[in-house]
Amino acid sequence: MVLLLMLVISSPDAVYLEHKAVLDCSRPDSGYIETTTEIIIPLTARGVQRYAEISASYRNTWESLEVTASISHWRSGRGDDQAIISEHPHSSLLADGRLESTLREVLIEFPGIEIGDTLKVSISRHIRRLPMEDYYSYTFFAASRDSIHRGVFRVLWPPSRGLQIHTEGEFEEWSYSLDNVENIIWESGPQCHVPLLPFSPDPASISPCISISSHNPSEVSSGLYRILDENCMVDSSQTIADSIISIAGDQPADLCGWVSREIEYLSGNLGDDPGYSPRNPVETLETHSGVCRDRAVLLLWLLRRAGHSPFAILTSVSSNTSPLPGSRSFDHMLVALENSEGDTLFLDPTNRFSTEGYTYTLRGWRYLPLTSPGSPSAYFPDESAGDLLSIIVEGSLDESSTTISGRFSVTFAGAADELFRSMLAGVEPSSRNALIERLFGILPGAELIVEGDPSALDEPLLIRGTGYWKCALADNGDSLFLIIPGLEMLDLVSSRAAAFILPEFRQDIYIETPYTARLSMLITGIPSGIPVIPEAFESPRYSIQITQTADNVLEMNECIILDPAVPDENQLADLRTGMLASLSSSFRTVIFRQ
Amino acid sequence: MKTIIIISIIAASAAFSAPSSISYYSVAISLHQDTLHKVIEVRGVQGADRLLSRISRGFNPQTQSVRLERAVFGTPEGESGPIPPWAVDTLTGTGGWQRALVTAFPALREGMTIDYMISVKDWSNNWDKGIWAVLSPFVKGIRPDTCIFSLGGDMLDDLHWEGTGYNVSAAGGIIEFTASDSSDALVVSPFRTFGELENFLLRDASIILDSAYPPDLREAALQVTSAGADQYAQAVRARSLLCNSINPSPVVRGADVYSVHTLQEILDSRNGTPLEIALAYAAMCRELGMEADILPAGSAISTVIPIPDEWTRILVRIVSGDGYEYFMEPSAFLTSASFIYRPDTLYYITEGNFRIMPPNDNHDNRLTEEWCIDIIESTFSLSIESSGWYDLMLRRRFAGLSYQEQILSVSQWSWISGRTVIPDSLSISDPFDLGSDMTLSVYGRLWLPSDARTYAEILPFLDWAKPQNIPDQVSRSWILTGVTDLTACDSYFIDFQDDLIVLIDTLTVTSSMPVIFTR
Repeated sequence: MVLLLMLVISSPDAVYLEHKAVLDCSRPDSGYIETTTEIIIPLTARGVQRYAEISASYRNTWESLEVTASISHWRSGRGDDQAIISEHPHSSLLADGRLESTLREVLIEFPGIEIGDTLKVSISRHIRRLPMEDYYSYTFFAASRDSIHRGVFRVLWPPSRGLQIHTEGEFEEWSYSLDNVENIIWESGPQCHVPLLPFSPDPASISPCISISSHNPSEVSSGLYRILDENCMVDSSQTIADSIISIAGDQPADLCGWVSREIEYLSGNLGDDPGYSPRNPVETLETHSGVCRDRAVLLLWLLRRAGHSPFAILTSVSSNTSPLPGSRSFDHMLVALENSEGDTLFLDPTNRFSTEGYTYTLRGWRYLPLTSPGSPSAYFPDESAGDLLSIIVEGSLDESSTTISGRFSVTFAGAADELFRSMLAGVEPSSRNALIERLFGILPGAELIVEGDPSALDEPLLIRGTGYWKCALADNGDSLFLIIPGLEMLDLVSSRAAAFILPEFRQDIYIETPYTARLSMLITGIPSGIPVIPEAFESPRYSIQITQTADNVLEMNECIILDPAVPDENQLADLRTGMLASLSSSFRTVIFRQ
Repeated sequence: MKTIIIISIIAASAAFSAPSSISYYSVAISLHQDTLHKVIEVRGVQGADRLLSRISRGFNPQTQSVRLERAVFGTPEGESGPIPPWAVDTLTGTGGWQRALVTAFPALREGMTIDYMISVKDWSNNWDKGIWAVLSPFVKGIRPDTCIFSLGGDMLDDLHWEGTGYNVSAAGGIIEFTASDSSDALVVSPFRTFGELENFLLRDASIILDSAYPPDLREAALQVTSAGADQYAQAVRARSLLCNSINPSPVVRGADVYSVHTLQEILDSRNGTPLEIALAYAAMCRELGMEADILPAGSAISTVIPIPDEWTRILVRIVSGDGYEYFMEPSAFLTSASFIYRPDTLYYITEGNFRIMPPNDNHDNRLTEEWCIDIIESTFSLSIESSGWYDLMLRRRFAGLSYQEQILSVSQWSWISGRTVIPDSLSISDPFDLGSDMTLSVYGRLWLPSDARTYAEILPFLDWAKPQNIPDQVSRSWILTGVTDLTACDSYFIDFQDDLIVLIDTLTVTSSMPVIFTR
């Protein structure tokens, strides 16, 4: 019955009859050819919408695409149509501030698409050379947000060249040699679709996959060190570096903050490999602009001049970095150094909000340190114990307006600090108060002070002020019932998580921002009568307790633990129990018997 | 220049923090035969808001070209120079523009100046009656110190304009408008009557509508005649058919405003602009034996001067065989076929005449929201019936979502409303069937059951975020079982029945309300 229900409620937008990738790497001197072939049938209205137009991106500086695509209409008389193929600068460039029209997007439009039509798409990517250095890698995913009937991954590889292979999940594998070329073939069976829902894991993170590469991570680390670090350093402008250090300070966080503030996020079609090769620090300073790699290189240069020993690290923020990375595997560069205790200190001059030096979404993900002798992949620390949101309210009850008015303060740490900094910095200063009122359930018109610039990591973020919160009062003649507002109202982020996690149709949950939310509320001016205090509720991930601390004073302490990011079955059950309790007024209701 | 920039970077922290300002803004438009030329100049000072770091100009490469004539930036000390070559690029545009010429001023600190000029050539067929434009005296939300619009070239004699606060002068075949501090948009148009505008906007569509139709259109029309539907029902079914079959495509800016694909092309591509969808719909209705005309419409008609920009909606007027007249908006995606959304007066042009369609009244927008709550089990069932604006919101909230996403959508909606409920299952009418009003049923849980005999809870409700200018009729009620007594605030009418209690919202509450149950 459960299986039947899952089949009914969980239908994919499309099915891939064939999902195939062939990598011809047999002649690396003359480049690589990656050919993907997909046969897709859209099954729903959204499937039609998603597949009416699909895109493939490429860099015209070092590769080209050859696309053939057609649609077979199931409706009699409509026959087959060729897809309409057009090419444009990539649509993400304008919004991202990247003047890199060398990044192209091929749009494949299927005319007159209907549910049940069959789409055939073949894309051959001719890679003349790889950006920066000849470190080839590729990852084949067997599952996706749509279901896949059959997956085939085939690699043609010269026997004289080493091949690294990493497999996750079940594949059938065989190989043979033909014309002095190794043919290795993996096949995967039918794969259910992985629904793409809020608070669900990324399909790529749970899909069976195969990664292959021409070099091991240490070789890639050493080779890219020369290109991205050693070759970018300049000796001629040390007086400029000294001037910056004298203004910004010589500590790593100071210099990182200076680069983050002063270098505008902007790129252009610069260098041999736009989007990959960074400018040297002086060029970045001259143009007052750069992307993550330019900023990271500038920071490396300044840190070394200030007497530190930093090293660059490469990672991917869009999905976890492949265990076998190559030249194309990374979309972000930051800086790290060892502190006196031997711990790694991360510095990200592109992230203005994370006090940890890397965004919390990278926790537990791989990165590659770039060092002269070469280093293996490492993992960002996955520690969430310090993720905290603490709300303190001290107010008095006004029965006539059914409000609690008073002072409040909010402090942040870890992931909560980064999240709220980014939200506050993301709105115009004139809209900031309205955002804070909404986030913390405050009635409009509060007097609020934000201490610390949300974009300045050296300034602790604190929100304080005075405001009004709606509470609920009901009188049945015998007693007055006071429902005290809880985290459900005062922390919009955790209550949003509850709304998405509580429906029980799924067990795979990914908590976007893990943190512990604590609410302490002190209320004076409580109604007359004999108070009946509710029993405390305590579970592994939620607790609430109300006490009467003086004649006229109630204190409520509530805590919910949204942690870890990927809870196991028992942790999820505990979390759901706690979240349901947080929605229940009975634990927050004090009855005043008349 | 490089040294100056680096020094200014190093000394940056001490810079002032004034907003950006525009000292000079001009737009010179001239028509030469069939090509429109436009020269745009901007000079200004960068502020703390860094609004002038980048300037983007959208264009359509099929009909327009844009050339950067000048992009110079300078320091307050007087040094200046051109931007580096890499700081100009042609990217994919947004907001209907196919492309955008993006100019970045990469080292532009606060207090530094910019001097920017582009020229645009437009060889679309939009100008054969003369120049038309709506010119705003603001750049990036900033009112310039000096703002000059000038018109020149061919067909100047036919132009007329409207706009307050402009000093107008004419010399050497050029009309110049200098804005003042109180200026609003300047509207320029060659169209003197609404009939002229209607003919211009519909000139391609009218020809196609009056020509022979392709067999595919007749087949599509036949699909809506089944089951003996009368002509109104056929018109409604035709709306659903097009909504299900034709993907609304955005209007491409810079293209000919009146251009449409042929009916066969529209049907084959399954894509259509609002005008193309209206054309296909009117042709289907004609094929079904009805009289059908396409009407340009708009609600934000700010001027008495007819100009194409303001007529953004397209209606179809149908007259059935028995003489009844109906209005439909075929491109209104996921909107009940019988409903034309108009919180304000809607204007339309028919047979050269300017006409008014009054705003929706409260009977158009109805909602019934009924909650059945089992207090002992802490479960609920919710039943919603809707029409008009409520129907539209329900369709757009749920259309295209998987069942799991629909569950989460209800949960998210209740969270936004301030009282999270936990849906376990739901059923919903077909959002793509535009002939029947939307209904929704949800079953789920509310809170942890309590052992107490008497306790208080917050009743669930849904916040529809309805704009205040939309009149409506709302019936919201809660049917409670498992309770013997109940206390609620005066906003509710309480009806005690044999084994249940009904609460009726009498004041259309806008937030969740507490009640006291006794089991």
